[in-house]
Amino acid sequence: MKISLNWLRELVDLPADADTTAVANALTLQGLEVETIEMRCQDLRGVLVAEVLGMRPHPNAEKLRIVRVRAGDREEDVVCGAPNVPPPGNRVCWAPPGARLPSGTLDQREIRGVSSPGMLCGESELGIGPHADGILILSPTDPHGADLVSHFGLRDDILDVNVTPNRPDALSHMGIARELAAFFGTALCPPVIDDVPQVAQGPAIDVQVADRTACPRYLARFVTNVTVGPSPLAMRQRLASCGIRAISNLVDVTNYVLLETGHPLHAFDLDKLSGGIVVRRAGAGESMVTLDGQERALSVEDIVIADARGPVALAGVMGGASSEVSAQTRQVLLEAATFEGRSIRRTAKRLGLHSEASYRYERGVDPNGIPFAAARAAALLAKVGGGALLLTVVDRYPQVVKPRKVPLSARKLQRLTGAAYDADFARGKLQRLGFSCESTPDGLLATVPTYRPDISIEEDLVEEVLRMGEYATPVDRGRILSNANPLPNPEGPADRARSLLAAAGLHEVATWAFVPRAALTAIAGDRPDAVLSDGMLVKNPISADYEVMRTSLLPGLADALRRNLARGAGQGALPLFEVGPVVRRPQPGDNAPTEPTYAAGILGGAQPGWLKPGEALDFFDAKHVVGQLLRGFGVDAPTYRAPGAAPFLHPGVSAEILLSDGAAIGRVGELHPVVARRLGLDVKAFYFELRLGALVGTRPALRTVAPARFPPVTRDVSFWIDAGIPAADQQAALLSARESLLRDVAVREDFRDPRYAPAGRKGMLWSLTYRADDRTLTDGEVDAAHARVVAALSQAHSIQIR
Amino acid sequence: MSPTAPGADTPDARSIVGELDRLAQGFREDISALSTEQEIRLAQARYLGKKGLASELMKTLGRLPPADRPAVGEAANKTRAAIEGAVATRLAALADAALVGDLARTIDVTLPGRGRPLGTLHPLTLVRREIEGIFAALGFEIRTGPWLETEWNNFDALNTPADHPARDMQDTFFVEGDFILRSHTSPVQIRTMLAGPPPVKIIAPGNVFRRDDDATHTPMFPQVEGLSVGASVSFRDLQATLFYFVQRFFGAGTEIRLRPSFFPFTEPSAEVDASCFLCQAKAPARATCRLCKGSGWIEIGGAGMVHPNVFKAVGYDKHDVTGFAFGMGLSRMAMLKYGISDLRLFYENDLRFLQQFPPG
Repeated sequence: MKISLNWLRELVDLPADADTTAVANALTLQGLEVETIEMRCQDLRGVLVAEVLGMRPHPNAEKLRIVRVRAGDREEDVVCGAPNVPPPGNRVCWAPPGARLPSGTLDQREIRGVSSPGMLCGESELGIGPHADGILILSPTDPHGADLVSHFGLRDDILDVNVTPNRPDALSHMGIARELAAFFGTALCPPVIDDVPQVAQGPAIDVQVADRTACPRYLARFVTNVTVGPSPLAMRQRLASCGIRAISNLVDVTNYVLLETGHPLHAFDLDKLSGGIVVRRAGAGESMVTLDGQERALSVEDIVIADARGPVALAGVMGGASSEVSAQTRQVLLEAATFEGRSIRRTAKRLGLHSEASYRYERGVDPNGIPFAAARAAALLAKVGGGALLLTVVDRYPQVVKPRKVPLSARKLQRLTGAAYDADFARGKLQRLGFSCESTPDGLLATVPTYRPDISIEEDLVEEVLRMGEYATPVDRGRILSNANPLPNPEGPADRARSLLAAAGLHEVATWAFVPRAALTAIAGDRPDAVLSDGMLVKNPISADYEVMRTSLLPGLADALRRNLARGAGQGALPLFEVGPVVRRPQPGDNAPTEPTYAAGILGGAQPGWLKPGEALDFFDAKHVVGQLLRGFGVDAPTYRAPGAAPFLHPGVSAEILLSDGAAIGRVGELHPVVARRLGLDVKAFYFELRLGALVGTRPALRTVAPARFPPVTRDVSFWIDAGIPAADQQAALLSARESLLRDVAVREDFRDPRYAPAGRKGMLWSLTYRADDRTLTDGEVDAAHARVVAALSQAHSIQIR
Repeated sequence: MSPTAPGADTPDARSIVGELDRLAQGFREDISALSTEQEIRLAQARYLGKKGLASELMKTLGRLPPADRPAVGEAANKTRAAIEGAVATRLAALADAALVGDLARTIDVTLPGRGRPLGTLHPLTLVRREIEGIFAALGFEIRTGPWLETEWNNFDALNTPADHPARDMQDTFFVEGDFILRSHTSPVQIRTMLAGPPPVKIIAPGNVFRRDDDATHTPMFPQVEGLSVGASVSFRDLQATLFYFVQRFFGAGTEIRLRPSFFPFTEPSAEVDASCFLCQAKAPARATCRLCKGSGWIEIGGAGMVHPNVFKAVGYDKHDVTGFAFGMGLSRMAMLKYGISDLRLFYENDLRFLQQFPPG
């Protein structure tokens, strides 16, 4: 909300040394945060009020004129292109050479052969309003020669105040002034109601409120014989400063008093109303044309003001076209009312019509402030519109809202604040904020002004007491050590996985929790119908990119890899990882979705470093990372079972990962080429994912074995074997000999060069390590043991020793 | 050179001793030309081995008169010692020469190291861990909760009734099956309090979701919230806790400022500002400070005393307990900490950005 400092200074006495920054700071510390300060008309200097003396055509240009103006004792001929130069005797704004406008400094300039001393200015050129369709015309009573800025008080600081939704009382200049008066301990100066002609007789109508919940109070005043025209520059200026466009004196007055008091007001053209008016809910199927010309279908929740012919205004939201004030309006009904906030909010939201009025009604308007606001607006209208105020006031207020009484105990105050405040202290603070307080045995009873609907419980009063300067009490440093605990926080499994993966050379990325539906289809392989059996749909996504909760980390990781490749990062290794939950639809019998946490990674690009430039990463790089991660969780011997059992992995280059108890905990492999293409990847990439929940608690209690004292002996065995027999099966066969001296089995080579290998076979080289715990083995012992082990292999598989 | 074989029948002590001397002399000459340990050991075996020249010579010892034997035996021992000494000397000389050669070797130490470089942790992870560590030192436990929440946990229990503007479709993501994506991590507070009696002292980190997507908002963003509930937890404790935090996070000398504010779930409520660590909130740097924009303060989060309606919702008696809660956005904290100017960088996953953060 924009607040004019000039206006504010009229409504509250501020200390002499309170400059704009001090005022802004005071409001911020009171909980009304000043977000920005705009200095109006800083770039406007030397512009004068000038009288038009005469006008003649420009000799060389049809659309230009030469206007003779007078400002004090200066007279000049100014070239002007505006179509609205007024007749002699009127006042305009003249920027002579040397004057400063937002666009720059004026000088004497030749315009189509005629020398012109500066220019006559319009609102937008002066930077004081939106109108750009001609020069600004002032009142004939404004003194020529006067400085425009100082005469109209145009230089002003505008504070943009962030008013929290609980503080409807602060949504006006008076409300802000009230806060400043409390802060500085100075006096409020409420606006004085203008002394205007009043008449006892005149056109008036009756008002009935059919729904008291919808409309707790409705007050109507009548202003007669007004003349509609532009409002005074000072008023228009203030509206513009606060972001409201001036329309006519009639409309401007309602907006001016709204900004001043916080009370929305609406003016009806009384001559366009038929019979009395009634405030009611809209009927089913009813509709009306609002003053923006739109036909609006109404809902039975909407509150309308209706005359004998039907709705004439959408209460608190927008007026109706049929009762709209116009240039011809003479008789005015001025409405000041309160409407049910919830209804206004729903209506405004449904129709997308958010206005200054609806904003305030949604938050709550004080019914007891209505008479003042209505009197202020009616008198101001009579003043600027030259009309008279009718003595008749229609006020429908069946259920008077009385000030609430809220108790505050000293004990509660002390307990909640941790400070030794007593009841007298609290009373002093509250009274400055306009609360009246009476003493009670354990504290006080505060009477809450009705403009503060946010104060209803003890804790609210505690905040009010603190708000008066106590938020800024110095920190009690002694309280910190009293609850310090030096024990470090143990790292959770997700963070452990992150540390391990970063140590293994991967880079952590952050991807969205939701993915496009197409991304899930892409990784579903040939089962696209199964995609949404797990994925939960977001009902109101911002865009298709955020449509389904991710069921896998793959789409996000693939996207991150793709983007980095697109940025030209493909020269070295691109190992990325993420650790986080996925979301799965509740299974039958569950009442909530599950959110298992996964550690997943994608590897693309080539080997890092400079010794093997360009050598592509492969399956075993990914498997190595998986092994490192599992090792970090205490899993030493996972099983890798082909194929990977995932439609998004290459069927021949992927594996499922199992714990020793057979539990499947994840998978690793090359991305299926079709899936990779669908995900926008034109390179080979390797992916792994591990369900972290399955790894928590797998780490066995640590038991160590002393290093051996006797030396090992190593024997190799090299053979041809059927290419389809995996290393794990060969190892199992070697171990099946149950040779007690065999302590280690390691594969050294998997050789498949077709130039040497027999068809369908591969060459394998294994190193077998023999050792005894109690002696150094003899050659004979080793030879015998090795023969038994190789025999076990031969028995299990058809091999041919190389 | 080859030793002269003595006559089989006429062993002569003097000539044997002479032979032995010549053997030692010959050996020295032999190995002076050898340059590997293996060659030297072979030569040694040729002289001293079981069938070596010295051994052959000694086989004649038995046929000598007993009186001559000690002199010959002594000579044989001397020869053996001489040969072994010559071996040791030669080997030592070779080793010295090898060492000198090895020490003459040089490499280009400016070439890069080999092996897989360390990876990196995401800045949002780093800043979360740092914040968790600070609050852990104050005795806060870490609690997490699901992304998909009920409206009750996310709003109703937090004194945010059905007609509150924050519940508009504008702000909240709705998911099929009557779930929403949590809009803050406060439901973790509710879950924790529902799960057990006070005291409660937790922080709840995690991603939260709001329907905003522009230069200063992402639809998903990480938060950390804290909650401390007990018999006498006060506003001044809140103040002291946040003070400790800013001192650890932004550096000693950092001050805090609490300002009145409004949140449905706290009363009193506060905005939390830290004094600007860039300009130290001091003139003249403050006037042109791009971080605090001259105010001397930077906003870091919200806080307040737990609203009695929240205690009511979780079945705590507001006469028994008081509590404070606070929350802050991790993206903002990371931006402040690492001087990151653009929020979108956190989710673009550009390695050129990510690689600037060392693993913590």
